[in-house]
Amino acid sequence: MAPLGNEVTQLLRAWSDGDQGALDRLMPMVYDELHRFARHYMAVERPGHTLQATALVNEAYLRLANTEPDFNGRAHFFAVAARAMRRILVDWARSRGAHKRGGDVPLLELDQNAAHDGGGAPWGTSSNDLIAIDDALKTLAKLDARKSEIVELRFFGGLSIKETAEVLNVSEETIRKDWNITKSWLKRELSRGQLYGG
Amino acid sequence: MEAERWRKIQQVYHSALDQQADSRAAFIATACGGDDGLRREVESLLAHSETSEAFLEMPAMHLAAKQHAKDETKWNMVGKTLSHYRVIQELGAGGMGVVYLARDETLDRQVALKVLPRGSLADETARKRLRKEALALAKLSHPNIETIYELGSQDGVDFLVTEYVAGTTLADRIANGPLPESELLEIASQIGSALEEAAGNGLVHLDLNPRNMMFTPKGQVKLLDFGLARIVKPKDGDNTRSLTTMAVPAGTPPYMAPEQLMGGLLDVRTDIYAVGASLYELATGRTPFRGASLPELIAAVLHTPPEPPSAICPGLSRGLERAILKCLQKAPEKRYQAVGELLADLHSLEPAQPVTAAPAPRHPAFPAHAKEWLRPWKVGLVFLGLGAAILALFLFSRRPAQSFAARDWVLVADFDNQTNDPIFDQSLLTAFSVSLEQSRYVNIYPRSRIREVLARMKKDAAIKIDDAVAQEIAVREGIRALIFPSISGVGEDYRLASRIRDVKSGMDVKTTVVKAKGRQRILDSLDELAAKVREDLGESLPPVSRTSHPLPAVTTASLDALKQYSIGAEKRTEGLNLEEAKFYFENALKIDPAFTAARTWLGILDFEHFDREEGKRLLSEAVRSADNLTDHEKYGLLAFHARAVEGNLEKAAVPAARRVAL
Repeated sequence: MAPLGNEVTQLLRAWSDGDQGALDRLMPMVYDELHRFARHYMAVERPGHTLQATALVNEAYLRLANTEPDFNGRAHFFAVAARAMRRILVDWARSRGAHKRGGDVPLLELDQNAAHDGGGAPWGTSSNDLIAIDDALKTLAKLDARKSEIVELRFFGGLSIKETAEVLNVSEETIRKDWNITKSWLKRELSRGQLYGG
Repeated sequence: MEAERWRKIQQVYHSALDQQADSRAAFIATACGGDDGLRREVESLLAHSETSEAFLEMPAMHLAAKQHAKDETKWNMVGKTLSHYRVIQELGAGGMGVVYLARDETLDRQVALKVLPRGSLADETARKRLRKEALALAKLSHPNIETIYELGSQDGVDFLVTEYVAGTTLADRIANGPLPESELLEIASQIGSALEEAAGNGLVHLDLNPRNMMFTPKGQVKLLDFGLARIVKPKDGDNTRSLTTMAVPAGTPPYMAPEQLMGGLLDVRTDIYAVGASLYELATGRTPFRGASLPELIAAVLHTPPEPPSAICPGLSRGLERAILKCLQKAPEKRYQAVGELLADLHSLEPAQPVTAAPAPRHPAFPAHAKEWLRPWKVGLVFLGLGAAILALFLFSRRPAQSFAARDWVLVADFDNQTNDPIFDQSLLTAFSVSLEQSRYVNIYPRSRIREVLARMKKDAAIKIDDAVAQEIAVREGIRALIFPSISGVGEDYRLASRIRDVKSGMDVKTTVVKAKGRQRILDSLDELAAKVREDLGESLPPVSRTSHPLPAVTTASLDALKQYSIGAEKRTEGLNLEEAKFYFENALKIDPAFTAARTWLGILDFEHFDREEGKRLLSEAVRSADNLTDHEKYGLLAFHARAVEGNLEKAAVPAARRVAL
């Protein structure tokens, strides 16, 4: 996997340096990982089995950690990686063309998914959700850029509280608090979008 | 400016979270110092924090992967053959599965194939629903109801085969605007006819809405999706009305009758309501009730009269409007009581004319058949909370209330706060307890003792005293009655409920509900609730003598051990078969070797009846861990040990005296 990690690192760096095409070249790798996870979900009978959040980012990171012990470099890498994941996954959700909010009652669908997942997914899996979160994050970024960054790192980048704290160079307690209020804020923002009845 | 405000909001939010739940509201009020906007903002965020614990905790990659897994499952089906059905094309997908157009290779005809995805995505709920739908459809034979062909399973894939209905759903028709009255009447009459067939076979559909009504190019209406249908069994000697309830309120909210939303008793009148809501929409292009949020929608359904359809579509006849509004009455008794009554009214409006020139469906080549078929609309958490207490009321209110002996211990569980308002978390319990204790008949098990019990149970003292925990404490402590209070609410309408459980039978014997309009009325209503509960507990009834010995407080973290112990204690008290009692105490001790109370009793039994030396050994062991017992048990053990094992009566007198003094 080392060469892949290396390539991901280079592509991310290229992208952050302004090479827009790098994201397109990164996309198949992200899709590949997505498909691997999907196969896992289809195969595993019992929920509860957890996978590494994003092996892709982690492999790339391990690669990077050896070559670039500089802290700022690492933080930058994660920020870029999480943003890339966000772009690619939201594009993926859009391309599914499942974005139809019209007369639907999506909140119920979310809860239903939660209820049906036997603890596997605490939240819905509708691709609409990714798009809705992406939209809400844009609003959040105007209000509080760091909070939206935390969501990017945690949700799209798959980082733990601890890792996020390290990347942003603040205490875990700070991240925990920020994460708490940001989730409340986002949850409220998303529930505002719902209209019930026709 | 905005940044400053946001900073302030965060500050108050986090400080409020650090507060005890009961002092939170007061804290926010003080911290906001009259700034109502700030207070509202913080409160609304806090309300969402209650439900956002699991939110976003699964990385985006996994959400996407799960979605992709679902996509894959259905993509894989096209072109494949399941049993003797060749899958041609997908017709629609819902939360629980996919509907395909397929070809029956044996009979050479087109069918609709409803398939649940295999593997982890096909859960038991979806499976049950599919089977239920099949069983419901199998009972029915009617031109306006889709026909079932087969329910099958192959390689772990469950599938339901039905008649393939080409056409559009009525929801698609509405998208083109309201329907002309003549056409509407014809459709209504067909729906009514289908419903009559279902009701005649003891079925309620429970998810009637325009999405589940197909309209064929020939102008025929077909009801689909019987996945939520229930069989309502006629009671002996009473075929006039039969009722059912749903464990979890489910359906499509804008078309759900009040009793369905609130988890009440359901019958054909619930379906009649849904028909009314559908006809309303067909006539006006709008559902009768709307809301910016689910709670708002529910509040409207429960309390607001629908806008008369003629106010939206002035051309509508009075007769049709009357019929629709009668279907939409809040109280089932005020609706049509049978489908026949509705049909009679509809027929009197205009002689049914077949719709000859039905407008061409918009997508004749790609029918929307069963698009919504598997959409489960399982109603969410907010919703569940609302229904649960009320549901309990309906389930249990018909059982006779049992009375409890005066001064029997009563354990009041933590308030089940089903609102999003954390203010109710602690405050209501305190108020409720105070109110209950005004009765000299009610002896509320003190919280301090609950904490001690929890410590012996090796549980966190801060644990929520919910159903399971309360039951466990009650069994350990010989408490006879449990009270489970709860609050739920929609907008300004609150419902306070209290459930009484007889610990011995484990059955809920009575549920009482009072309503409160507005927050400021809640405490008054709480008093009213307490008064009713006191009455239910037997304050006004002659006390019943105790039928069982309260169990001594025991020390084990294992419920299984506790159960064995309890049986042993019961056998011992009966005194008929002490060998059996010994057997159960031994079991308890095997499960939890540190279970001192079990060791004590086993020791006493052995000492007195079976094996004196073994008894001595066990009792001496028990004495060494006597601190794991309640004081009452401990002094009892010490006295017994001193007297029986050591033969020292003088020594025995000390703990015996202390025991009496307790």
